[in-house]
Amino acid sequence: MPKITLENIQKKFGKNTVLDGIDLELGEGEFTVLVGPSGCGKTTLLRLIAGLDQVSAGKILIGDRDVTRLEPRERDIAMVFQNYALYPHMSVYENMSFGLKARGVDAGEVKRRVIQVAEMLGIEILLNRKPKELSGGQQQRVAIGRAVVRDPSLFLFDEPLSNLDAKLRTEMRTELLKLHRELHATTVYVTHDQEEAMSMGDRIVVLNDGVIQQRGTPRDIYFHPVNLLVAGFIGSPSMNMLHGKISGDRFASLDGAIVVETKNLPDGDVILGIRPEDIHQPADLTAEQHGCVLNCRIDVIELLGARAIITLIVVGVELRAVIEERYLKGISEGSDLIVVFDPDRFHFFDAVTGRRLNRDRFDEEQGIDG
Amino acid sequence: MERFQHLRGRTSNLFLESLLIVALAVVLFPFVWIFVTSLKPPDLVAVPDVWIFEISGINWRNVLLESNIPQNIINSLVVGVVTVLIALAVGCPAAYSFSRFKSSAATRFSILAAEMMPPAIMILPIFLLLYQLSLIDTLWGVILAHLTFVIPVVTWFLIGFFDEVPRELEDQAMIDGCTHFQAFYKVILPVVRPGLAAAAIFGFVLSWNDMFYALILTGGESKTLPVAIAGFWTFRGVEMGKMAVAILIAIVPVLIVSFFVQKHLVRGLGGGAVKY
Repeated sequence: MPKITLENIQKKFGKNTVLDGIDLELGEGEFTVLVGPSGCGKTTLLRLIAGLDQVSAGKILIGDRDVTRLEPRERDIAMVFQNYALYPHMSVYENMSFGLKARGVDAGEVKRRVIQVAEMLGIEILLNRKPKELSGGQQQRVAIGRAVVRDPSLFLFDEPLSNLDAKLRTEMRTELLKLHRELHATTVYVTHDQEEAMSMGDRIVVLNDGVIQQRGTPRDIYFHPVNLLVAGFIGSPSMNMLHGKISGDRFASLDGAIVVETKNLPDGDVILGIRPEDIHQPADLTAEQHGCVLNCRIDVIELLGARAIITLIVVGVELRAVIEERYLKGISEGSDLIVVFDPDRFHFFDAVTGRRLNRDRFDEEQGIDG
Repeated sequence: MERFQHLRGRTSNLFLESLLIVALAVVLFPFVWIFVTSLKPPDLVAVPDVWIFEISGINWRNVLLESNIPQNIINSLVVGVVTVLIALAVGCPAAYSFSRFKSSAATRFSILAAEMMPPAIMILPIFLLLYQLSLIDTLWGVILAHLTFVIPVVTWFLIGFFDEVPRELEDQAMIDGCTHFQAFYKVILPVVRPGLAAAAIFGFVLSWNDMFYALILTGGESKTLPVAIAGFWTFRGVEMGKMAVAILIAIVPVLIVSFFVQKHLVRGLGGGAVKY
């Protein structure tokens, strides 16, 4: 499985620039997830890699082969679409064998490979059925099987799970990961679902407005978002953002509700980001970790099962926190709650540029440059 | 009160049903009348209000065995089938292109521009062209004339069917190893097969029913069925019985086929317009 290199990719539709200067290297056998809000250019990038659209400028290399101007059929890739794009007039077997036959593979070999992949995906009993006779999950499997059977250099997935219901989506996610571990195929996976991105990717690329915002491992992206956009997009519920000022190694939020000591950060207007998961009960943290203690009023409690999202009000500011269900005993909407923050988990962003300002303990542990 | 409403519902249903029966009677009566006329003995065909008579097969025998009608039917069939085959060969790629490559509503409707004009405007140039090509009174002449309105209609008809095929299907086919054209004929065309069948039937009916072009462009051996039907109006008067037989032959197959594809016909007539 070769690596994929994208060099300064640009895509314009008329005067509208959809992708601007994308440089990306996808390692051999790596599972890369392109994630970003709708319209950020992630599907366009995938279509450019597939050759379904032509780049306006830049180069695409698969291994050492420059495929920029090649037709999709010459690129040796396979793609799974959001709507599966199964050929409705063909049986599952014909769907899976279509690509091999189009490439002139001999009939015996086609049959052997289709049956082998069908067995691997547990769809061998469906081979004679037409796509309309299959459930959503089965159609999904056939679409994946059709890609796998070709044994291509590169797999492309365009939001393949978004048409499935929540339960099936989680199951298929695990299956896709298992399949990837088995095949070690270089894969590019597009999704708008940050949870899917976090759980599946070896590497995540966050796109917005046609520009790469950040690339890194899921941990990098989650713990060390390089700007407000990435911080706000990754994580659910999304990060709490508090406007404030740093002056003389001291951050104070505009309303004065939160005041914390800072280290080596320039004075000026900043935004403090706190993940809902980083708002704790006093008992969760050691006394040294209690960087900031707040008395809040509970506005809304949303129970998710083992955890709950609570909306807290502090001097008119809303904070969302995720707490374990066991802490819900004795508290109710309208009552007061004391919460603590670990200042090592604070994210400071420049209020004007949105760029991250601080290095934290995690960054140092991971050796990430600030 | 409830009972009253119930009664009112029943009355309005009855009213609607009676209206439908009257409408059906008005539409179907001519068919019944033509059928009855075709079975009347020659001395009774000109008497419209005679309903009880001895059934006679003489009109059918005259038309099928002793007239040129069978030849005219073959002419109409040849013209219809060839017209449709050419119209599909041209209209399919055209409709696909209109569907896939961005086209404004105005561009799409422009396909039908020629249909908006009265055919009388077209007939003189067509006649002169065919005359230059020595195609007057030949089946090819009629076919070429019919293509001027069957191709646009078939194209319009198919746009809506292509619009409904997800673009990802041809993307997938191209990734799977097809050229764009192979993706079109190996994947897209089989998917729109019902549309092709309906378009073919619709185009065939247009050609089969045409009287205007055929009347002007044919005269002798190449006469099509509608022109031949008109020919029963002779200097001795209208040969009503024979005419009735020929009319039945002309309309019944069309009615039967249209009945089976009516769902697709309605879909196709909406053309690309349903998306706007």
